[in-house]
Amino acid sequence: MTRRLAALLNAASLRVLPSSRREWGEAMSAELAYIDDRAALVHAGHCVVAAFGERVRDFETRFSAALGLVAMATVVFALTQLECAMRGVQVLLGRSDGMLALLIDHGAGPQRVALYQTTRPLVVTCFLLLGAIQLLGAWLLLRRRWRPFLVVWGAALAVAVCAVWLQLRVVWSLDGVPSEFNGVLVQAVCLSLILAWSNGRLTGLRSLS
Amino acid sequence: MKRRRKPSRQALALFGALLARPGQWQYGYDLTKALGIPTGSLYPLLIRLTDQGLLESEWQPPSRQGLPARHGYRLTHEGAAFAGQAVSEAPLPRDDRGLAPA
Repeated sequence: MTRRLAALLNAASLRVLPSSRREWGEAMSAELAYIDDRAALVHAGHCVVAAFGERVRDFETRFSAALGLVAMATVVFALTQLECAMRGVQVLLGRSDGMLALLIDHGAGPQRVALYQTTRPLVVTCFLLLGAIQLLGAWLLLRRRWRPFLVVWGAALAVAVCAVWLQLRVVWSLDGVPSEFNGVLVQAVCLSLILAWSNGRLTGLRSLS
Repeated sequence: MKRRRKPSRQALALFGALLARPGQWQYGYDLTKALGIPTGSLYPLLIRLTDQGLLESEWQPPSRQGLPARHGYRLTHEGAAFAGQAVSEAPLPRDDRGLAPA
């Protein structure tokens, strides 16, 4: 029973270890055969600890986790854009328009109201596009398809600029950075940092070897 | 020789044990028992030192039939020089758990 438990723990540590450390997992396993049952269990338990430590230190794991976090943030931004787009679609289908009421409250004349109504479908389309493009960007990021990702990032930026420009034709000013840019900005900053870190790390590894 | 960080107490203990039997292959569990360093700390240390080129590792044939091959460790030439210097420069240990310079 103790030996089986030790074998199970050992199998777990082999799974946890990064593939680049596979040989070390096998080295720790091999030792089990030379140890009595009770010590084998303790040894196997410590092997799991060592395997988790190696997993956390593993460059590839950290890089994937960092990309995963950026992709997750991108998905959140994309869903926010899509939610805005859905609300816009509902307004286009006849639901009451709070934005229109707000414009009229702030003294918008018939000309501005007409411009708003002309612009509305275009802005909704921009939000739909932006959400879809950012979802695609998140997927490409996880797949590490850098070139298509760059194209998609550029497209997201263009659509965000377009959406903001359309809105600025109707409203007088925008406070702070428009939310349309959140996704592209976060990607630009985070990915630059991640790539700079990984490049520095790889250079360090090359100088070691 | 490349600039290296000051070795930890555990690294010094490991160096001491490896320097005590120069050129001989030593094994993970035997080292944990001799040094009192748990496997969870010893293997990461072995990995790090091997990555730095201070240790070499090799699969050694089993001592008895029916047992698996064992992963053996010993100091490289560079490792032996570094370990010798590190151990000789280390402050005297406050306990007797194999930390004394060999």
